[in-house]
Amino acid sequence: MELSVDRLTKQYGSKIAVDCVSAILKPGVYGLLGENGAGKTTLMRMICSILEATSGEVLYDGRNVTDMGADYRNLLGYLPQDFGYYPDYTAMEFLRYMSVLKGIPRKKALRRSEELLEVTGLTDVSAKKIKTFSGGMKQRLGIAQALLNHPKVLILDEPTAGLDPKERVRFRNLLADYAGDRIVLLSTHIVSDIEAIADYVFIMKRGGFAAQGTVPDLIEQAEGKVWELQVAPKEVHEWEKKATISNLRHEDGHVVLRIVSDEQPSPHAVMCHAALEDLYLYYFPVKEGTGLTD
Amino acid sequence: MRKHINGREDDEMEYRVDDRGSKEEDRTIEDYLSNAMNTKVNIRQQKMQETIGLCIAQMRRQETECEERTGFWTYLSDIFRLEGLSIWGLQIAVLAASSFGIILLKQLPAVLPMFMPLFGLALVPVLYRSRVCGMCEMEAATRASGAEIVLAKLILAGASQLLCMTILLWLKITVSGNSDQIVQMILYVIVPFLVCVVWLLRNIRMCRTGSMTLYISLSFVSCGAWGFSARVLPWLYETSATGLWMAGFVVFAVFFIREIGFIMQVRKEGKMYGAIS
Repeated sequence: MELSVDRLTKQYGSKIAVDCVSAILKPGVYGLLGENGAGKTTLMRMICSILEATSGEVLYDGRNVTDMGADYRNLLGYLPQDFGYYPDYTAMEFLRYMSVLKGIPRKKALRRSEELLEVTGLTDVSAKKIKTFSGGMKQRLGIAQALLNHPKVLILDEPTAGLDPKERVRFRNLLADYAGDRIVLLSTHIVSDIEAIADYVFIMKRGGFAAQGTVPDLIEQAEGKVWELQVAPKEVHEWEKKATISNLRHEDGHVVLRIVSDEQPSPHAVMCHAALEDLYLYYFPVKEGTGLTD
Repeated sequence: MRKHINGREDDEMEYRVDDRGSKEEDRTIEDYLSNAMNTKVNIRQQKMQETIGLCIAQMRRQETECEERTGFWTYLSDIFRLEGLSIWGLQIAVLAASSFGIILLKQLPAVLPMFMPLFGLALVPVLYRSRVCGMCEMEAATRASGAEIVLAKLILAGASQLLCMTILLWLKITVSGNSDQIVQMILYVIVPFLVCVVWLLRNIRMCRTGSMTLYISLSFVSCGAWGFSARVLPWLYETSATGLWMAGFVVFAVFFIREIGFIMQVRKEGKMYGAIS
């Protein structure tokens, strides 16, 4: 089983959302990291074949997914970033409805819906209207619908958004169990989620892949670029303006800054081990004075 | 050197196994079995290759074989079970409102077209529901796709509309006490309805922003316009104008068939239709 993305491009007028991206995905968990507007959602939509590419193609085992049509969508599970629900549906009715759209026979759909409600911890509220659900519960229901047809290709756009830490751990475990012989592609802003579950990571910037590799490989790339510096509290603001600070902590009346920089930011700065979050900040440095990434 | 092994159950599939690697693996398996069984094991090469072939064939089948899926008619009946009540309920509500109007208004059959855009309007919550509720992207990534969803809803709504319009015509004939102008009356019902539905389907296909609000507003305007025409253009509702209505019917029926044909084509090709595309 192989999903190939071949020189995929999407252009909206003069703006290029995805710029000639290529990748080969084999069974495993793939993480897609990038800031807002980097093109992650557009790329995922094209992989799901719900958005037509300007050029390039997506191939599943050598067959163009657009040509495969319903055959490809049979193998696909998709959780969009922003999605809603029919508010008058209960959780069970919603899964039944999605099963109908996925063409799953009635008995099988009922059994699977019950299983997935159990797995996502929604069994107790299966008869309640979705409009009464919290954000996290809705997100879990979204994940459940994506898994209904036992997809070979699972695309999850920001699946952990709105989940509390306990739910995130539960989701990670669910995904780890599930991913064995399937292709799972997930995007998130939560670097620790990617670090915990992704076998391979793509860092997306301005429509292209700025970096890609396994988590250790990517962390390796950031080695030598992360520094710790002890400063006085009054100097913090000045450092925030001139450097990318990935973390700060108070220690004995001082502040220890974790700085991401190609060069030693100060003679007193000490090099330290990098994490994936540092690499993320390396590619998306914090804009001066805004607290926002570039 | 490479050799081909045919799976027993699927003769068309051929798998290649590297001979050298295979021999090394055989030795490992042989050792493993010997250790496990505490006795010397001799592996028969032919049997071994046959088993490997069967395993590969089974794994390949699992990768490519899709689970059983329901057909369109099962899908339609499921959609009817889940959404039928709201689809039919809306049409029946419009029928009730129109019947009330027909009983109250004296200018029959000229006021008949005035109520027809309301039947088209009753399709809006049905066809735009996924977009309003933010479900269209999720739905589009399913087997059914946007085109199939719209088609199923149109079939269900169309059936209820045919029934409602028949009841409306029967009611009109009962109220007016004669069935002389039955052909004209059918045209007065069908033509304004087709105009609305063609417009609605085109709006969905073109995915224009704000199209739903525009459609709702213009539906109410067209209700008023048809009512107004009954007052100021009485010649339009005379027998001599039947040709004009026929021409309108043919033109809009062609547009309607074209739109439906387009949806069916998109469904067949498995491409996106409506909101996402």
